[in-house]
Amino acid sequence: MTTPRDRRPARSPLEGTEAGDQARERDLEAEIEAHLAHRIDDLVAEGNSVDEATSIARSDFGDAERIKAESRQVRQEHARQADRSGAGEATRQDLRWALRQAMRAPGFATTAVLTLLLGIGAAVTISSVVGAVVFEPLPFADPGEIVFAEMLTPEGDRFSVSEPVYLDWRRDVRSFDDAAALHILGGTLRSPGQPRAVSVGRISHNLLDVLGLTPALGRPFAAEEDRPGMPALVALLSHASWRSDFGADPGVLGSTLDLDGSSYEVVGVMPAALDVLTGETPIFILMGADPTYDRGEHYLDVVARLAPGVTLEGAAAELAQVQDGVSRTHSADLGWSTHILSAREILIGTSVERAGLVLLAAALLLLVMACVNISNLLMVRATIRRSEMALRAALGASRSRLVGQLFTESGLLALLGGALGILAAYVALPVVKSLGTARIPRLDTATLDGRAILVGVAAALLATLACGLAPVVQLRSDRLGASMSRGRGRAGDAGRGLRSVFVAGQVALTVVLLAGTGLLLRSFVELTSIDPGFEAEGTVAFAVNMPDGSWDWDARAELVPELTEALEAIPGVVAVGATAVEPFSGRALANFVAAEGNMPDRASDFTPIQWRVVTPGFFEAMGMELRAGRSFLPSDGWDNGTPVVIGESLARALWDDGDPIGRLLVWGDPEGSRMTVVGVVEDLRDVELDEIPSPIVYRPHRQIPWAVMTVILRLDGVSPESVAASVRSRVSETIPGLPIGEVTPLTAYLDRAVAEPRFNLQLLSVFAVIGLVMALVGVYGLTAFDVRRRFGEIGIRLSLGARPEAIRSMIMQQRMTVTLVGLAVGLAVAWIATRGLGALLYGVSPYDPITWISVTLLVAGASLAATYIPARRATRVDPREVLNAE
Amino acid sequence: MTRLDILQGTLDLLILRTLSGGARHGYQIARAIKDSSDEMLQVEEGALYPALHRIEGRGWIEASWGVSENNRRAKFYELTEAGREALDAQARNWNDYVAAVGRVMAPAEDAAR
Repeated sequence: MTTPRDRRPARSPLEGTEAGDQARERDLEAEIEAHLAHRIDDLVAEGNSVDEATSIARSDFGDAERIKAESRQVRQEHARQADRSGAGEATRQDLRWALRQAMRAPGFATTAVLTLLLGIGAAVTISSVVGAVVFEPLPFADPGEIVFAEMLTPEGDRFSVSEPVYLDWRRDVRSFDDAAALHILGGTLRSPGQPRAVSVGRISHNLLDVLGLTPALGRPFAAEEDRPGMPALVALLSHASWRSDFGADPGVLGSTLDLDGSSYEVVGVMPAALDVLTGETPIFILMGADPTYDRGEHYLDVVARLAPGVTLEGAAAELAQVQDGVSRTHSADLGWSTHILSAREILIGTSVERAGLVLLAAALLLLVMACVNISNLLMVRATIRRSEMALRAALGASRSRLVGQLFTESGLLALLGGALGILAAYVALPVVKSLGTARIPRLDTATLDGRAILVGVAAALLATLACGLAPVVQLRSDRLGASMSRGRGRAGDAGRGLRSVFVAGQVALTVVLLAGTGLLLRSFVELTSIDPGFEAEGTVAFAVNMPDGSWDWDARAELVPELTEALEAIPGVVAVGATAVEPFSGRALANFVAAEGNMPDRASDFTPIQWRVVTPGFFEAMGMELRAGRSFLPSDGWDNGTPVVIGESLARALWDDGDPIGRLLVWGDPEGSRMTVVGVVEDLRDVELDEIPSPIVYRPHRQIPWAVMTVILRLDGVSPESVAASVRSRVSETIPGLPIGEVTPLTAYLDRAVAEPRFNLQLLSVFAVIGLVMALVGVYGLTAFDVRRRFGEIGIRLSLGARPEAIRSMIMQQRMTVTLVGLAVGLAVAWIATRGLGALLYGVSPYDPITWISVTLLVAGASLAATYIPARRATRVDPREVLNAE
Repeated sequence: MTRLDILQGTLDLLILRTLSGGARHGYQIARAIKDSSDEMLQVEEGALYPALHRIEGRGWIEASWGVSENNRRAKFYELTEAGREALDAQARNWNDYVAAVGRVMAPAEDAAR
């Protein structure tokens, strides 16, 4: 028995292909020849001559062709059977192959999956956020019909509405199906438990009706309860307050609450949907709008539902008409005009909408970049496996199988990346929500709902298609025959052109992202560097409310100075002051004044101003500089000519010729009180940071003992936290039963003013950084691959005496050209795209040179580094090593 | 069953049996069958190679090129695990078949005496 030696497996991977058939034919022929040879050997051994043996053997063998034909038939029969079970087998094979490939190159797989994770994660997170904040319709019935009606001052500034005017509108404006009014102010809730300072919503009885909402519990207010000037003492709780303060107890109905000294009966609970309009206001009472009330007191928000078929423009026109007629009867309304906005504009806001779209675009950009990156990686790998692919293709492996293979690979990556991306979004969403403070409406409602998951799945599919397509395209264009020859560097790399385009594209996209971020950053810096006119550092502030029910006018006039003294005695407190307008709360007091001696005849021509009620220590506590004259004295009240202090821009406007000190100010209208200017201070911005500071008149607390004040303490050498406890104890000692709000530094109030731009900036900059990293990885990877691929060429050049630095420069030059093209394209696209940012920018034009130059330098510099590092390796190539490997 | 079929089935069995003694190339298989049947069974090459390929397609034997005792290249065939099982099954079949045919034939022989 002989044993075969040197076995090599005869089955080949060419099974079933045409070339395989040919191989089989040759195999069979060889086998037949071998058979004959052995026969001849035997015959010769028996004594025949070689020629005799040959002819005997051949004639005995029979018809070789027939044998081959039969064998062929058998083979085909088997092939047909195999095919039928092969289709599903092919996919399974592809999958196994793809998995093995991935595990063999963990670095590549990890990079790809990570990239997709970032891209898809960002897309899902942002679509969840933007969906909830921008696209989700308002929770009212037919929200498109709900509008807000405002008044415009004679200067054209938007302003609130007074009670009598609201009532006139409700009665006369036919375009409104119904109109409701809302006014949020501060109050003290005495029960349950400790007295608390709370926001109170005074509403007209029909607010829920107008919005198309019904109470979550109990009943709404009734029309008969809303008596002018004397509304019934009933209250509705907000949904959130009912849940948190009353434990969602249905028994709360019928209980009473002590609010500002009066007893209110709780008759119902508001639906949660109201929160988008009223925020955290926990309690609502009836307004009892009074037509005889002061027409000049503007503090109402008016919400109306348009009558069926009426357009916004139609309603605006009619409202203007009605107001025109009204103001002819009432001089106080002269010069005021009207303004209507859709509920969407007020509650969501165009700037939020715009920002949302920008962020969405940025996330999409990031996703595209991720796909481009992975495409590049896949193409590089496809190039490495080129010989394998070429062999399979040339030997007849169908194109669809190769394509299927590549799609399976990218599909596997996309599946993994997509799943991980959705998980990443799950983690990232709470973080993003915590970034946006209360100024981003509805941010807290963002969740990973079905819509967001759908986005993730769609993104993964897109990634599969996009990532799989590129290597396939490259496969097509590769001249496969050439790639089969030995000697790597010389074959034409047709995919290179496509990859270079991709890298250039990545650089371009990065430039767009960076330009947008840069502009927002500059804008943010501008915004935060605005001098608000006061020193926010080293202060604490808190709100107090002494409503009329519990303290009267005189009591307040006495108690506030006492409180100031008590607080000043706290060690570390340098100055204490109070103001009637909480900084950056969005609310303010306004009126009109004129200079005595230069007074217009009509009230409507008076100068619009903002006014504040402040205590003597206010300016010092705020760190505001006195420009002329003096601050208030504790004795300043109505005597001595009713002293007031004014801001410097008002001083300039009214008395640009000389000294305003001692001059007289006329308050409100030609018959108004005369007040004496005793001091001028620097301008204050305490409502919105990006406004031009309004002219301000300051009146001492003793003149108008305001009930709701924000008390400000300037500290020296102590931290805000350490003072908080002392503050509370002093307050409760001096004014027992007075609840105070949180004691926080003024910087917290200032932060509120920049909350929205900061949020946008934070998100966009994260995207820009990720984008930049991805682009650099792309540039780096491509250069590294280039160097590896051209090892042979480099080795030859080096051995022929080329200097390493020259080779390095050559490679860098080639790669940098691609990068620079991308940079140029990116700049051009970004130039156009950032014009859309205009509304979001403050103090910075979209063409700001600093931003553009910085972005260009950053991208160019980073790309240079990313090209340099791998190119350096080219100089380390040992020519002998390379040539041996050939 | 046509004669050809029977022949094919028998040839498969003979091939498998021959290979149960170890790997052999095509010519050796033909020789072995001829020798062990005392030259009563002479396999035609025209039948041998298609049979070998068919059995190979079924996975009962494996082929690999090697060097023969004459120092020539030859394609060797070897039984697989599945082939061994097939051999057992077919051998049993064959014995049952022979016995069955024998039982049928026996009364005719009695009659012929």
